[in-house]
Amino acid sequence: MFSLSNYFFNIYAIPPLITAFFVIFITIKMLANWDRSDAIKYFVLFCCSLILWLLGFSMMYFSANPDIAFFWARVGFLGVTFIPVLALMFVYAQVGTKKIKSSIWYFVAFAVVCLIINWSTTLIYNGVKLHFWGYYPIAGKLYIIFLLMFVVLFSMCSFILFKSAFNYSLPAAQRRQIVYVFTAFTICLLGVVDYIAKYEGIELYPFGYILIVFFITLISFAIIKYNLLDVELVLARTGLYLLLYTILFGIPVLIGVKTGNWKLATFIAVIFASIGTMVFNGIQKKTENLMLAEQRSYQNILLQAAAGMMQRHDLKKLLKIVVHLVKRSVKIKFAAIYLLDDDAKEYRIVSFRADDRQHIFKNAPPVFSDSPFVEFTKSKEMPFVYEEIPEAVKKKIHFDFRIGLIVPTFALKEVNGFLLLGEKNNHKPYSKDDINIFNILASQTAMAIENCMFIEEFKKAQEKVFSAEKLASIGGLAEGVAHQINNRLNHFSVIAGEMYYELEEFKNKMTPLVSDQKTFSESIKYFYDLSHSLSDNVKRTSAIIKGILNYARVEASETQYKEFELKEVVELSIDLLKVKHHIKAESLVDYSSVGNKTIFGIKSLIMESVYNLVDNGYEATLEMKDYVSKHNPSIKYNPKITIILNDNPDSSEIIVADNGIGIKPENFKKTFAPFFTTKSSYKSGSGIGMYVVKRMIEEMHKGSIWIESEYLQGTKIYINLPKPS
Amino acid sequence: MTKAKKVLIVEDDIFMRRFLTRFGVENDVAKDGETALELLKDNSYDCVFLDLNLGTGISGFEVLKNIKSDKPKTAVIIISGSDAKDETISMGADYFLAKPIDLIELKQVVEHYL
Repeated sequence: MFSLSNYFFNIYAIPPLITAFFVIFITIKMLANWDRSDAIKYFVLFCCSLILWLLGFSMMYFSANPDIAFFWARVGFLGVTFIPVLALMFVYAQVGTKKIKSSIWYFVAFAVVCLIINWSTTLIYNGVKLHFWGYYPIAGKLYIIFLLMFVVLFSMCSFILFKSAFNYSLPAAQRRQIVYVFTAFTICLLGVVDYIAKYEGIELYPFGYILIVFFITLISFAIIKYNLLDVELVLARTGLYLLLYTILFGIPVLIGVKTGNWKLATFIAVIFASIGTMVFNGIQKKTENLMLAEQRSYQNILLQAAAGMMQRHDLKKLLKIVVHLVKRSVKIKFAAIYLLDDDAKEYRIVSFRADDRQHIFKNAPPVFSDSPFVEFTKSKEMPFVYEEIPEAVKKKIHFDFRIGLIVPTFALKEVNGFLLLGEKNNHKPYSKDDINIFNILASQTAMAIENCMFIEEFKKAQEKVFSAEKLASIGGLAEGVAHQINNRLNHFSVIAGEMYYELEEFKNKMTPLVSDQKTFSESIKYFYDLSHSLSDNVKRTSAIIKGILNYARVEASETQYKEFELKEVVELSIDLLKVKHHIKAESLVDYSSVGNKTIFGIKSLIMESVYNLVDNGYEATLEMKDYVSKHNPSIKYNPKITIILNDNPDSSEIIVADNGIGIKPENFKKTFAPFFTTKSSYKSGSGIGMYVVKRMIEEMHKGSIWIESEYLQGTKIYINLPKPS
Repeated sequence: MTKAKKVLIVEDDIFMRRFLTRFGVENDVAKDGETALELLKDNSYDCVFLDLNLGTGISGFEVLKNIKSDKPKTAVIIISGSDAKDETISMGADYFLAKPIDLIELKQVVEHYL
């Protein structure tokens, strides 16, 4: 049997052998994509029986004598006998039947019985016969039963699939899958030719393996890939193609046969062949337009809408329009938009539209940004249908509504939101075209969202810049408030003074009494202390109020461009810094070199800038202090902020330098970006400070600002203010 | 503390008025601008403690203007809760004492001007 002399090279053995290798390749690919679903499990088993059949029969074709050929035919039958029953199991799994019917085990048992019978008797395969394609089995007495099993089971498969294709309770994408599989099984029914070929007197070439190529390709695509062209379109195109070319080549051949004028026939064939493509394209376009009329119309609406989106400036309205538009034009059950909440690191529904069960959307739980679902969405980079999500990921997401399509929007490679679409009202699946359109819509939406967010943030930033105007009212009040508060505080000062002078007089008048009585003198000393403490506290309270009010007043009143001493705003800024952080900043800020030098500018804005820089500098030293105490506790860290004013002939240069934590290289570029902050939120970091400073210096003073900084070394901020010429 | 001076206290707050009488030998008090101007017409003082905000009527600023035009040698110490230091000093006031008063500062001022 293993001697090479028993075999010969038969060209007819090659196609089945190639098909066998093709099926092996597909099987490996399926196993690599296996998501533990039953459908793929049975499909792979099904493929294994196909492989056994194809390999066995190839060897049979190669065989040079009938005994060896018969042996290989029986080997091939090991596979053949299980093909129908495994096909049925696969179909059950595919349409979602959870438990495989017990009746199917009778078929399995029957297949096993057939196997034993065929191995030990000639009732099924009654030897082999030599055909032009090589040795082929001859049908035995019981072969008819086996043939019937094939027809019955494959018909069952087709019937189940056909029924499920119209079962609208199944998700659209799954139904599309089923249509593919149904098509595959229908084609495969032609495989009955292989069975018929085994009857004597019938010289029919068993081309079943060619069908297997189609069958396997279609099914594996249906299982692994969802975003194929619509199956109707493929079928329509193929049908059209076949019909057209049958006519185009049939007519010349007919003419040739009828008239015997083959020259004319060839001539006509050439003309037909050249116009054939054109005609085909024309008809194809027409048919597709007809078939996709509905889809095309909403796709146009969506594209137009996408183009107009940038005109929208109100985020809430924009999102509302998007969901409304999508739901209405595509005619789907619902549309909902999730947007990323950066602080909470989760996606929440911000807008939705649904036919019913509104509360489900209203109370939909957030999707966490580190969930497998988001990871998967990120990896897709394109809209995708729900069925594409791997089983493992599906198990970890809980949406209470049935999703048809997921359309992510991206900003800088991050998913900043996603649009969930329900199934279409007409139960049709989402097509490749749909997905392309939604991709455009998604990127336009993402840009429009960014646009809205920018405008909203910009508005907020402007509010901050011009909050000085609001402070103006405080400034106007400041004068009166200061007077009121100071007069009241003065009472405490007076009480302290009265106490002090009264005690002084008492001591002078009653010297013997005071000096003799120890407890008495102690009481008097205590009263002195109280007086001092009271006076001291009044002074401090007054300083705080003065700091805030002075700052507010300068902000409110000094809005004119003029010359002034930098020292004034530096001192006010330090006062406010002390108030804000409850610190004594005496030795912290060194501005001795500023002296009485003057600068030109709008005092309130320069003050706000200086205050922001000093405040940032101080917080940088706090961070540095933390860092040093953590990493180098032996080093004595001395926080220092230095303010320098360089007076040039046509400009003034203010330098605010600190020996704080410095700026990390990766944050350097973002320093002036609005809402960028490295300060944790509880420390009042709005991230607006440096942005506002930059705008005040550049826009209001036509000056410039730049930074030199090194992480763990400190930061130097330069402001250059031009002098009026 | 040399208590050999004649002092005028112009102050609408009774508490403060009484407290300031501690520092002069001879004290006159006025609780409004009108009284102050009247007193200033008939008497000459070494030192005037002057509050700026005197309720309705004549304000401390006018009293200050009056003193500095009629009797420029009189030392005027402004005591005020408003921040009018620059303004009053430029009008000729000798010292500006902010409310709430600092007792140590007050002591120094008294020693200097009285």
